[in-house]
Amino acid sequence: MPKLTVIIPTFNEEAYLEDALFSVSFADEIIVIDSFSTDATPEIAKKYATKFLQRKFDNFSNQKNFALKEATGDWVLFVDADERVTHSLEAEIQKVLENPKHSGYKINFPHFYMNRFLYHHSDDVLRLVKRDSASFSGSVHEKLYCGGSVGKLKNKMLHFTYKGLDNYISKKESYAWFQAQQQFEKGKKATWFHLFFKPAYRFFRSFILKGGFRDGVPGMTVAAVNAYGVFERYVKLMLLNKGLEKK
Amino acid sequence: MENSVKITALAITLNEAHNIEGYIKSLWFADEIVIVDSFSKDETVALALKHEKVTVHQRVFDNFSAQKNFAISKAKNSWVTFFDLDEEVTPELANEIVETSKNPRSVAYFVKRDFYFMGKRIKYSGLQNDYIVRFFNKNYCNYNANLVHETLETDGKTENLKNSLPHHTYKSFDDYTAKMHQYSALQAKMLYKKGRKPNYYHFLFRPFYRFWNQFIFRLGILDGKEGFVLAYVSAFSVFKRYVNLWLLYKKLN
Repeated sequence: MPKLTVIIPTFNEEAYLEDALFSVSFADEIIVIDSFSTDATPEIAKKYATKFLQRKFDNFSNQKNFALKEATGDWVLFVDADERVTHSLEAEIQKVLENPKHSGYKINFPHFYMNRFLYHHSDDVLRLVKRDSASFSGSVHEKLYCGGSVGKLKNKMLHFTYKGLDNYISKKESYAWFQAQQQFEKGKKATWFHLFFKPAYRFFRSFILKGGFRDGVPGMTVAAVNAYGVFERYVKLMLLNKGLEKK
Repeated sequence: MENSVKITALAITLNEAHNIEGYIKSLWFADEIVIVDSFSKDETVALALKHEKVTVHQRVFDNFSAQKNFAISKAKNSWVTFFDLDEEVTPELANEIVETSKNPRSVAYFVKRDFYFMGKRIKYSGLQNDYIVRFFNKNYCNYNANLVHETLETDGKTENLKNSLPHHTYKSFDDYTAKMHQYSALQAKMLYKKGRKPNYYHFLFRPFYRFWNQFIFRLGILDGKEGFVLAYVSAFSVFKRYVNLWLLYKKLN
C-alpha cells in the first residue's frame, strides 16, 4: 500500500483547521505549512500534524512546493483548512491508491454557501498526485502539475467558503490588491475595458453560463461578489498607476 | 469685527485625535467652540482642551440627530457653525462667515461641499448640488430624527454661501468601501424593522438603476473613470443592502 501525505497550507485558520485535520487523520503523514499565523493555528497544527512548517508567504506555488519537498509519502493530497475529506472520499482515495491508473486525480468541489451547496458553482481540481513528479507553478493562480495522465474521483470534497458575507467580500477585496500588484508589476494600466467589460463578463459567466441563476439568491450573490472582486482589482490597479494608494 | 454677532462653533467627535487640532485652528473666528464627544478612546478630548475657547461635553452616542441637538443646546450664542471633522473650513469660507454674521438676512446658510474621490474632485455624479447647512441661528433650526441621514430643519429664510467646503470623506478606497458596507448593513436593518421583504426587482433592477442614475442621468460619465468607479460602488452597495436584508430573514450571517 503506497503511503499518503496530506499537505495543508494555513494562515489564521484557528476556526477551521481542527476539523480539517480530523478529516485527514487516515493519512500516513500530515504536513501543515503556515504563513506565520497570529492566532491559535500553530498550537492546533502541532497537536495533530506530523510536521509543522512555517514560511513567509510570497505566493501559493512557492509555499506549496516548499511543503512538497518535505513530504515523504508516495502520493500527496492537498487540502485547505476550510475543506473536509468525507468518509466516502477517504474510502475512494484508499481504494484508488491500491491500484492507481493515473499519476493524478481531480476532485469535485461543490461550494457550500449561505447554508446550501451551490451545484452550479462546482469545480474539478487536481488535488491528489504522485509525489515524485508533482509541482506547482503560476504566481497568481497556482496550478498543480503531475507529469502524467489525470483521472477523476467520484466523491466530492466539502468546501466551507462561506464565513459570512462580510468575510467573503473582504477576502475578495484583499485578493484584489494582490492581483492588482501583479498586473502593476507587469506594467499594465486599468482601462475602460477592464473596469466595464471584465466585471460584467464575470457576472454573466457565473450567473448565466455556469447556471448560477438556478441557485437563487446565493447563486446571484456569488456572481455579483465575484464580479465586484474583478472590478476592485482594476480600481486598485488604477490607484497603483496613479501612485495614490498601496495595500 | 465689533458689529458681528458672536459665533459658537459646534462639533461632535469620536476618536478624531489626528484631525482635531487642525480643525480647531480652522475655527479661529469662533468666540466659543463646543465639542460633544462620544467617549473617544484616543487623545481627542485632551488635545481639544488645550485650546482656551474649547469646552468638551461627553455623551453616549445614540444617533446623529440627538447628538447634534444636544450640542446645539450647549451653545451660548444664537449663531452657530456645525462642520464635520472631515470638512475643511478654508480661510475664504471663514471670512465669508464672519462677513455674513455682521448683518445676517437669513436664519440658515448652505455651503456647497466639494467631494474628492481617488485623488480627483468629483464634479458630477449627483454631487453637483451637495449643499448643506453649516452656519445657522439655532433658535430657528433643529436636526430631525432620521437615524442615518440627519437633516437640519429650518424655520425661516435660507441662503447659499459663495465659498465651497472641501469634504475629505474619502481616505482610501478600502476605507470608503468599508463605510459603504457598514451603511448597507444598517439600511438593511432599517428595512427589516419596517417588515420589507427583498424580491428580484430589488436584487436585479435597483442596483442597475442606481448605476444608471448616477453615471448617466447625473452625468457621472463626465467624471471619467472615477465617476464610473463611484457609480459601480454605489450600485454594489444597493445590491448588498438587499442581500443583507435577505440574510436577516434567513437568520444567517
